[in-house]
Amino acid sequence: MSAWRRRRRQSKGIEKENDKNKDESIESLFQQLNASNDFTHFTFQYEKCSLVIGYYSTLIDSEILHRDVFPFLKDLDVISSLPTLLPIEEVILTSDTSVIKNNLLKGYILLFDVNNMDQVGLVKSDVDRTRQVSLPEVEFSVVGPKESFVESLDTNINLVRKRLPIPEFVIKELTVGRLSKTRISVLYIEGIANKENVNTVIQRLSNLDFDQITDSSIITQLIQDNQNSPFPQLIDTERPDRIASAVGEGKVAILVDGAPHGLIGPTTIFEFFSAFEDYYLNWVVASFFRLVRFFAVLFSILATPIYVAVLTYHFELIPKDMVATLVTSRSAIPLPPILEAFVLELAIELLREAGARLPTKVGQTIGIVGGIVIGTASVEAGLTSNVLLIIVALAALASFTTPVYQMGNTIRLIRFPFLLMAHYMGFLGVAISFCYLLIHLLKLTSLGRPFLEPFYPPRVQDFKDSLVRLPFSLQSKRPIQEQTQDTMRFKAGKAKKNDDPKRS
Amino acid sequence: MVNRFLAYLCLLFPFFLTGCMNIDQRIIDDIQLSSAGGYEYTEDGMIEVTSVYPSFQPDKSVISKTITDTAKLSKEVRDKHSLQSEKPVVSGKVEVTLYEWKTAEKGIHDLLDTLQRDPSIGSNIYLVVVDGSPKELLSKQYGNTDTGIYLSNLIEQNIEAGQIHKTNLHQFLYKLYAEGMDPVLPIIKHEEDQVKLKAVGLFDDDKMVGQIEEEQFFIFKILLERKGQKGSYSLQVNEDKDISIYNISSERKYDIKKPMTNSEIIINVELKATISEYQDGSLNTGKITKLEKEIKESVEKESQEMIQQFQEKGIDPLGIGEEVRTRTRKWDQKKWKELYPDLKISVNVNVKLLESGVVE
Amino acid sequence: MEEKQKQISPFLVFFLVHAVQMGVGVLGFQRTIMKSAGNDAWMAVIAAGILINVIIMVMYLLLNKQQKDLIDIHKDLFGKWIGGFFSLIWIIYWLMIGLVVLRSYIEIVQVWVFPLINIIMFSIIILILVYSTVTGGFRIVTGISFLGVVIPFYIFLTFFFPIEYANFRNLLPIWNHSVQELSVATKDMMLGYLGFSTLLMYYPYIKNPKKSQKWAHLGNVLTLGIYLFILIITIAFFSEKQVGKQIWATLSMWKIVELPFIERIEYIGITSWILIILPNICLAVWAGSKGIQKIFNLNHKKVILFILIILLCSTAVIQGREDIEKINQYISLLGLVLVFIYIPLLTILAFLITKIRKGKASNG
Repeated sequence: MSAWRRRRRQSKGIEKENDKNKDESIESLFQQLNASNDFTHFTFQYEKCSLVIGYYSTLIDSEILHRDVFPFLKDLDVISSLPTLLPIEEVILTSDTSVIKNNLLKGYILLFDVNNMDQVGLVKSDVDRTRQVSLPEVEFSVVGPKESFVESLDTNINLVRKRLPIPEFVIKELTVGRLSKTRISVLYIEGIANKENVNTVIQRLSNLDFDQITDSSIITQLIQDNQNSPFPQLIDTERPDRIASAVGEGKVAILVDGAPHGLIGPTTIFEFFSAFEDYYLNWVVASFFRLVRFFAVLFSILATPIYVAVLTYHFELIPKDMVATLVTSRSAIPLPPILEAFVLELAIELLREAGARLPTKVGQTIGIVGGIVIGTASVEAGLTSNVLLIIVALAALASFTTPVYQMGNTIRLIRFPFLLMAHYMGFLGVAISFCYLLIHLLKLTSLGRPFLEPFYPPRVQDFKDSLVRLPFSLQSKRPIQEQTQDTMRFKAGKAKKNDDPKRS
Repeated sequence: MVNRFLAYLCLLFPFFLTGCMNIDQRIIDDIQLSSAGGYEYTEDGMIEVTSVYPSFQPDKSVISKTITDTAKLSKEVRDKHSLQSEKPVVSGKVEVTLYEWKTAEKGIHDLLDTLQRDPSIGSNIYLVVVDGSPKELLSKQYGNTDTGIYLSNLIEQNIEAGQIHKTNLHQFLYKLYAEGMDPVLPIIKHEEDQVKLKAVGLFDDDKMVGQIEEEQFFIFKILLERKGQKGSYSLQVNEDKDISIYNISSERKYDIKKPMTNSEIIINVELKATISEYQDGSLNTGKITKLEKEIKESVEKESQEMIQQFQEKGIDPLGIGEEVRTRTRKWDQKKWKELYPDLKISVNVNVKLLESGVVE
Repeated sequence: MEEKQKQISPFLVFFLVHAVQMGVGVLGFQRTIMKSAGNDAWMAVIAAGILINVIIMVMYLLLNKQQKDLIDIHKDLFGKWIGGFFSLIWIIYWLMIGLVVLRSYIEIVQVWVFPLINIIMFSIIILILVYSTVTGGFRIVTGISFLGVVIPFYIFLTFFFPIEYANFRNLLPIWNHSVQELSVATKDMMLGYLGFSTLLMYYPYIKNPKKSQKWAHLGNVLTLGIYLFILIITIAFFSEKQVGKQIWATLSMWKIVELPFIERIEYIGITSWILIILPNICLAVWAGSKGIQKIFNLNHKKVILFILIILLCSTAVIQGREDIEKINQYISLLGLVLVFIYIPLLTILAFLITKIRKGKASNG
């Protein structure tokens, strides 16, 4: 407790120092900056002035420095002529030390004349050391674009803006994070997105007080409506096409600098089960896949609890031809069904966790070795029944079909309370847990919009893109969920067959 | 405040549940699933109940085991059974209950009460009468399955094949409580390691008073079921030349001119069939018409005889009374019982032979 | 009228009316009404449904005129004290509906699934569900009503299975019973439709409340349809004397259903039924708590907690079949009086008083 208090006092101290810095001289600034070894500064003696050049060597592109800055400096007489002299657009002239410091840390080069310290020049020459745009890994699709976001905000915005070349597409930028000073962009289309949604997002973001924003998932946790819910209330995606399409639908997207994932809201639970590939496939196929995914989710949550409930309490339910299978598979097992199920579920979770933490190649091996060896061994050792092994494995498999990774985690988690309740009260327990889940989902909102929409509140129109995906000709209206200003997406039925030129 | 309180409550919940929920677990491998029960009245008025349960062997084979005990009430016997068993005996998966012949003649209503009252027993379990001792029948091992399931499969298969009418606990009770109908049950017999469906037992209320033999199953079935299918009937046409037909569809309709009077009741049966076996040379149209007529006459005659037999015994397994009841207001069961034995009931069968198989 | 944020679309009234009517009654209403009306009981179901529709119409006459809930109408017409007293009677009535539903459900669970179940613990669990729904506000209560109608609807499909054993001739002869017998059955049937009067409380929460009237009627018609469907199958499936022996004829019908993967559907049915009774209790508790909150000006959450504790204690006090039957009778009597005598009287009175007041106002 006391340590925490002390830390807090310290952070306050830093803040105060920042305030003081404003009227500090450049000398003391240099002193502060010199504490860091990657800060370089040296003085050049030119004909007309003696220039001091300082920068963080790790933040700037030395090529720019040598190609676009040094060769032009010899003609310099006063700092105020820097903007006209250099072939770089972003040159700032200031005397405010806090501005200087902030920009130095963003990758600017500091230039000033030793004799005339009233004004200093800052030249942008930052370097973006991020990886190239590459294939999406989490939301891979066979059909459709194969670009995914990277850790640079500007690249990410570029990927989205390429897909929405209209002036109405607006990007509002904020900086959040006391230590990380992370740039966060809010993306929406003026005239389509509901102002309320946009304002909610901007308000929540600007009211945030947090030290380090290292990824967009932290933003999700900080700004979603119910922070105690295991359900994510903002969609997390790495596909620029998904963001572009969501923004076009009237949603608001959030991109965070340094995060290869964007966020979308307001959203509904059904969107977490739609892969973006669904839009690239024929609607019949896509709808089928969506239904399969839904069935998988239900199966994943309910299968093991039902097994436990039936074997613990409701033996009457078992078909007479299956009794023998179940009893013989369990006869050697000393554990009650609940422990049996727990052991297996935990084993699967361990496998997943181990696979996720280890490098890809080792992870695969662990998956296979663990799955086969542990599975067969535990059945042969008489610790679990093979029927349950099949059920648990299928349930785990089913939970991985959820396209949004975080929702998959949630589904694996909520299986455990179901299991416990099934053990205590059989089917009644399962039904009660299910009711509780429903009530919880009913209460959830995403940016203030109901989370279970279009199921509740029932909106028939929005069913076209929820459990199923109907053909595009029926998707001419934007979903009611977003309460968009402009509800029409396009005019339906323009490309009908009867206007085609006659073929002889 | 309240919310925090609730949150704590939820956290403590599992502990509450284990201690206080007070539901007893019946883990499937820790109970003895009785799959059939045999009932028999002993001489001193006690009930002897034999219950069969499967014992699952590690090599996936099943051995049937039986426990027998006597007591005054059948649920009491179940408790006594548990005294003899390593695991508690439960009746939730009972498939068949068997009644000894004499017991059936004495009346089985009291024995049915436990089946009705127990929520864990389904309505579609089979009731059968045993010619012989149920204890003996149940203690034998039939094939590789459990005896209860074996018997239930035996009956189920025959119902599906159309050999006998549909029967189960619900239907027995339905007919038992219906005012113008009497129940029937199949009778099985144990013959050399085999169990055979031998006859159909006719009940007056809950007491067995007669049987229908195997040869008459077909007639009984087409008269009993409003819409029937399957089942075959054979008939001698010429000396030792036989014909066998297979029921494609039969439809039974009652023609009751004046219900609750002495006027005649006509049962119309529309029978569509195919020839499944014919020993007397090839068939042609003329012959088929002739055959249709012969079958009609034979079926009619046998039906009349059967109904006459029912009337003599004062029982109504066909539910003629129900037909009359649904045609009269202010139905009076007593008056019907008086009327029934002397009623003229005739059967009118219409036979149509649709196909004669793949050969002429 | 409430704030727009809290209001619901008019068509959701369909689910609210239907959800509160469907309760445990569906599982065992047949015996009571067939005792007096036999195979003609289906007429009683229709007659009761139509009568209820008339009352719904009267209720809308009253509400459309007044545009406020029952508590405010009482206050307006009879003043704070007498009005509050009348409101309290209604609140007790609603809470008793909730209580009866909860207790009857627990009884079914006791008899059919877990004979030894701890009643208090089980009630606590259900009441926690109720608490978390009702504290969410009326939108959540509506939501659970909607889901409580839509999700368990598959249960009714299972009633097509008993048709295999049904004798529809049992419905004949029609009109085998006297009008008197039928009216007794109709009166008994009313219990199955009660609860819709919570409309008097949530009326201000409906957007364009006048438009919701047809939905309220339709909701009632759906209840009628379900009762009729189940009753006709029951009549055909059982013989008349056999029904007399079944306390829960609907559940007994499930015993015949055998699916390839589930041999006994009634366990699924009983446990799914929790989703059908939940909106029932929630709506009753919501109406009661809202009433108390308005009369005494208390914190809503605390009122709900208070009510739930009372419900919990009452469920523990009621023991066995007999007590439940007795409470059922009281409630059905109270319901009949309130719905068929009180509401029409109140409507006329409200009409007259407003007329007189208007007259006075224009005179003075």
